[in-house]
Amino acid sequence: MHSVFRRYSSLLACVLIASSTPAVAELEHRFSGFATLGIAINDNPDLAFRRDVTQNNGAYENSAYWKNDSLIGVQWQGRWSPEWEAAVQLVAKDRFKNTLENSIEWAFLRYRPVDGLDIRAGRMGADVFMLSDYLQVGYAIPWVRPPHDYYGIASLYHFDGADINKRFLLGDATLNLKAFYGNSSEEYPLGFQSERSTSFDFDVFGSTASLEWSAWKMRYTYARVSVNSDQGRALRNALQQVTPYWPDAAGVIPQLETTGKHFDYDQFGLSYDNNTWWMHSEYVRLASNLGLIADGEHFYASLGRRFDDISVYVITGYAEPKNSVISISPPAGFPEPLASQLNLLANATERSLNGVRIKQKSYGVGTRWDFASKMAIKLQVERFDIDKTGTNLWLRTDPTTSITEDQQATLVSIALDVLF
Amino acid sequence: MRKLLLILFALTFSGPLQAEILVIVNASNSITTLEQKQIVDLFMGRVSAFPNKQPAQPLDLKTGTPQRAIFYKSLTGKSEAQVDAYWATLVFAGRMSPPKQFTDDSALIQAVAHEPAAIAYVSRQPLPKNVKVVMELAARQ
Repeated sequence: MHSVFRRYSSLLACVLIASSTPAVAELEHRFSGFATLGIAINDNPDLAFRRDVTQNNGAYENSAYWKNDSLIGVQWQGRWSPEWEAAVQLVAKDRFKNTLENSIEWAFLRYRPVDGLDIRAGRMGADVFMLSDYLQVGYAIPWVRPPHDYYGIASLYHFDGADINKRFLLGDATLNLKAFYGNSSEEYPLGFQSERSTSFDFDVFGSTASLEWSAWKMRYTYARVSVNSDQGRALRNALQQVTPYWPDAAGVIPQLETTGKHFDYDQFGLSYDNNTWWMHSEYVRLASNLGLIADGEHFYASLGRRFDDISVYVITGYAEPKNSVISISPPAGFPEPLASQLNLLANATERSLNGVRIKQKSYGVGTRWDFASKMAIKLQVERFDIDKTGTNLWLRTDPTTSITEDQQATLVSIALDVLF
Repeated sequence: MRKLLLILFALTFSGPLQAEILVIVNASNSITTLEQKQIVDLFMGRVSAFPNKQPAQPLDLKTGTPQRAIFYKSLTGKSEAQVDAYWATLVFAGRMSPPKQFTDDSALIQAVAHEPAAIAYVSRQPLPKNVKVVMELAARQ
């Protein structure tokens, strides 16, 4: 099912781009784009900063790195009639695997039989979080990047599938109900500047209710992500082989299974904007029944004020795991070399299961200056407190040593955002 | 400089009537009048049809045109940068295509005269017969 979706999306993108020639009558074209040039400086020597878990490189020890936030996106929209529209969006950035197929963020056809009802098919944004639809459009968000404690886990940029959205006008309020289903895959690098990665293939379905009323916006999303790929098989096989010596190992094996397992998002968002003051906050509970995806909750809140072309803001957030640190001890009393092998295996298992923990909190201040039409410059300073058992949003600069103490990082970020 | 232009513009176009901005549609449109909220919904991409369900196509001035900033400020209380950021959330989500942009009033009037679904805003002025006013908006800084 999923590979069919994937093939269909690439094909759709080709067809859409090909049909954007003047030969098609009555077709209106719109070209637009966005870009960010960003630099981040991080003072922590042991942990490298990254924007999200799909990146394998970043700033550390007072160095500056520009590839976490910098990107350029171009979009074509074609409109045949008020009913039929299509969009293709390409984003160039530093990806772990940079292929044309991965660069296609959206490629979909939209059908609007009546105003207020939209049906889309193709590749589109995974609308799981409040900013999901424009996660990469720096100009559209108040900060340098989506809040790290929360969006650092948001690696699902798009999926191949379909969605349906219905709008209801309730007096002065607007209610949108949306349902989506599709398939996605993502490559997760295994370490700092590492070329090794693990690849996950997901099916995702969910629904969103969002209500806009006056200066307020509220939303709730439920999404279930089912994992198709089989990760951790080598480790499971190894554990299986040692069960004669280590019977308890059998109990750990199911925690390392991924195929057919799923995790659920319960997301709440609340924002307010009266054109002078604004506030954004989001909370998500990620409930996972796989050991290889961290169970936990994530939150951020940000308050800002506009003074003409300048705005200033404060921001805070946290990520808190819901499962305790897993400790795996190998059985004692075996002769060498078996004892060492069991020990290595226990360590590897423990690392795999705890290596996904995220435990950190942050607070920061920032400013945005809209210095010219469709151009903004931002400066943001954040302080992160990262628990030694939950550094996974960051990359250990020395993979051979583990983090034994709680960490602090001060991150200074500057970004120039433009629309065109 | 932009501020100064805005003020000059406001002074030039402010008259005793306080309704310096006219929202216009094609003369063939069966709509005779629109409320401010309906115009906000159309220009902020919340709806894509007139209250009578006929498709609507908002037409805009180019970003940076002083009159554009005044229109959105008067209509929604938002600065031009806020409006552009808001539209970016719709456009780059692929939910709406951005309104077509024109260089000046006369280009807008001409476009509205030719497009039955069009809706646009122009400064107060004598208008040709093939367009009609559905709302008058007092300019606000």
